[in-house]
Amino acid sequence: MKKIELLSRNWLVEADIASAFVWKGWCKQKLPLVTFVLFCLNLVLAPAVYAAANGSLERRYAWAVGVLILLTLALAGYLFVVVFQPERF
Amino acid sequence: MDSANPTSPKPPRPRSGGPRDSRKHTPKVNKKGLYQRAVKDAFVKLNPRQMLKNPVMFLVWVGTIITALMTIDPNLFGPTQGNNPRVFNGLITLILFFTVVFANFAEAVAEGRGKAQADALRSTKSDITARKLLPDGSTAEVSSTTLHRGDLVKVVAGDIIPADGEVMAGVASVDESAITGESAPVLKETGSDVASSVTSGTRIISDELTIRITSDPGKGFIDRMIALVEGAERAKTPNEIALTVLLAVLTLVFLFVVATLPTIANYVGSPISVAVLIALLVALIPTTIGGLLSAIGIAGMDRVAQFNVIATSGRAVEACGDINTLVLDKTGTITLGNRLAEEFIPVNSHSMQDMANVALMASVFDETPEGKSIVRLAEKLDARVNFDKSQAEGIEFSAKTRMSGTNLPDGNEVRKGAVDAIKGFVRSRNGRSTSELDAAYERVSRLGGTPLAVALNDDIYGVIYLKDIVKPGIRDRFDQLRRMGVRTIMLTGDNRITASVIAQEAGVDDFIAEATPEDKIEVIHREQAQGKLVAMTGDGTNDAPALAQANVGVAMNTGTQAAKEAANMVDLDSDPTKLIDIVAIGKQLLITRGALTTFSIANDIAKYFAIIPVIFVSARLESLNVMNLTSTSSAVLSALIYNALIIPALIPLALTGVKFRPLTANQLLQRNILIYGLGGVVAPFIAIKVIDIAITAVRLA
Repeated sequence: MKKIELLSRNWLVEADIASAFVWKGWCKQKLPLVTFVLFCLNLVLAPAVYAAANGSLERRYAWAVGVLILLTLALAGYLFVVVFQPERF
Repeated sequence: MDSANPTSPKPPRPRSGGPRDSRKHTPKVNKKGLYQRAVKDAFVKLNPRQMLKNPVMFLVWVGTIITALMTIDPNLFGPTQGNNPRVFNGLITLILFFTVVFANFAEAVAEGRGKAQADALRSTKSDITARKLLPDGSTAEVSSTTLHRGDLVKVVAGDIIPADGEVMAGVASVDESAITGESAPVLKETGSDVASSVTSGTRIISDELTIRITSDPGKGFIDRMIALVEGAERAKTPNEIALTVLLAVLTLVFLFVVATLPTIANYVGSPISVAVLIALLVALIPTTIGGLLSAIGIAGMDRVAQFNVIATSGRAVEACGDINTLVLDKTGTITLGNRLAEEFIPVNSHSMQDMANVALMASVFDETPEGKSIVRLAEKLDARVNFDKSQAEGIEFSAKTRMSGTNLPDGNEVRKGAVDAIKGFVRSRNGRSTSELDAAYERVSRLGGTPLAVALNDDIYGVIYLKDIVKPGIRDRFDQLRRMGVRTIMLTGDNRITASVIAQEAGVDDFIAEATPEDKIEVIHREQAQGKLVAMTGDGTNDAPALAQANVGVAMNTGTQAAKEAANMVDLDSDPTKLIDIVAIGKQLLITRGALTTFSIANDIAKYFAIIPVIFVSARLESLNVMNLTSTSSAVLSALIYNALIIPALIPLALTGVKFRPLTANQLLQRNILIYGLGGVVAPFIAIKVIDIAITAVRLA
């Protein structure tokens, strides 16, 4: 008798549905996803800022500075797009 | 089309070459409520999607949001020092917000003027009922918006022409004042190269016409211009794209500089708050030109529209500013164009009376102004038509034969035309030319007139002196163009001597005599091969290839549909001299953009000296505080207030353009560097100091 792994299959299907949902949402509304990705990246960046500050910054300030750094990088990326594809603007 | 045609009709309503403003179209634009609408639009434009289109102002907009958050929580990015940081951050937020609003306002005012211009153009169009001719010959009343290319419509006296079209049948007077501002009616008839095209919105005032529609709904010339001045189809021009890249690069550089500044500041023991960093960034990036760039472009289009010229793209207007060579027809452009018979010069022992009789016989079927003037002069000399006109045959002028005339009922042939052509005609009938003819030909040519020889069969009777007058002031305008580095080439169907006399009198740089329409395209090819940009005017079907080849092709509204389709501009007033004005507008557009860019970048020096010394107090940079500003707060606020206020202060200059002066490129560069470069350095030093004194006096910082 063949053994079917229902759990594994359901997980794959649901992941596929979730990714399709996220992709559809990405196409419609980019801002929430961009914000989400930025906060995810800040999960890595904020502790690094906190460590670099050597205790002079509180944890909440490190999170805010992390967001500010990511925003600055995003603006730099946007300006690079303007430089290389100016006709879009 | 008729540079080779000594007797062809020219577009009506020739205008003198007076000052530019005198040729400006009578303003019909309603500017009521323009500024109130612009204020509203300035706030609507704060939508992030719209702000993204302007990289410099988008950065200011993002900075405004961050400082607004820091007003709510001054310690958002770490503990801050200083008295009342909330008020300081709030003031920065307010100033940055108004910087963005002022930039949006500049764009909204320019767009509002464009929209008002578009409304004025739109008022010439209305949804009217047209009589559409059906295949069975009957007519059906339909809305003008349902008419498509190829449809046939009938218009009678009192009707408004429903769409752009070509006259297929009939002769009628048309009042084009709605689009040209010219009250004199224009005769429209089928088959004529210059009078067979009609424009939507004009009114037929006598007789009736059958018109074939040449444009689909919303695709007519007026529709294209409306879309362009409203900004709906405004694509960035190559120069605007280049400037956008430059501004983005500068912004990027300053963003990196400001982002890395806290590290240095911390090292020297002068920590800087994020709000001050944002203020420094906004002060350093070129916000002035960033805020005014689109307004300058839109205002340039608006200026062209005010001259009653329909441009099909902003690129075409901008290209006018880079033009190196102007190819101009002599008749109507350089001269007044209404060449009239001044004198008959009989040769070969013929009497004046004989000469007048033959000239009259040769011109009875000639409907051109020149032909009619010959008839008038002959009749003044008591010449009378002594044959049955209904039995005679009129021979029309053609660029190939370069003569016209009449085949008389008794078999005799009378011809008038270019002297060479008439000599050939006479030789083919075993006649001969004489030195007397050559002398008369030379005499007329040396006077700058057009000599037309007249012959009856194999006998040449004499020469008609057609007098044309060089437009007053045209020499000065060519001098101005020469100083700007624009070369002028005159094309004429006249002989070499006449051409050289007119060329010398008008002051053109080069001329091509006895030119054929094909010569135009050859001249354009030759100039373009040398890397030059060429502008030309034209009105005939045979001008279409040259109009399409030229970098700037201006078709006359009285011209054929083919010419208008090929050109990238259409002059509704059909005034060929306007090409010179359009070139000046293009140059003015480029000069304005260059001047304000210079000013904007030069401003950075004063802002740098205002902010840097006071934020690095512990680094002992007091010696750099040349303005002796009171404090960090007052320095930052003064620089930002100046930065915000300079945008609305320069809106009038952006909209009207820097005053155009016919100077060489070097002289212009020196002048602009002196005024906008040096002025851009000095003005903010004074203004920032004055604002700092005011801020300190009211204890704002």
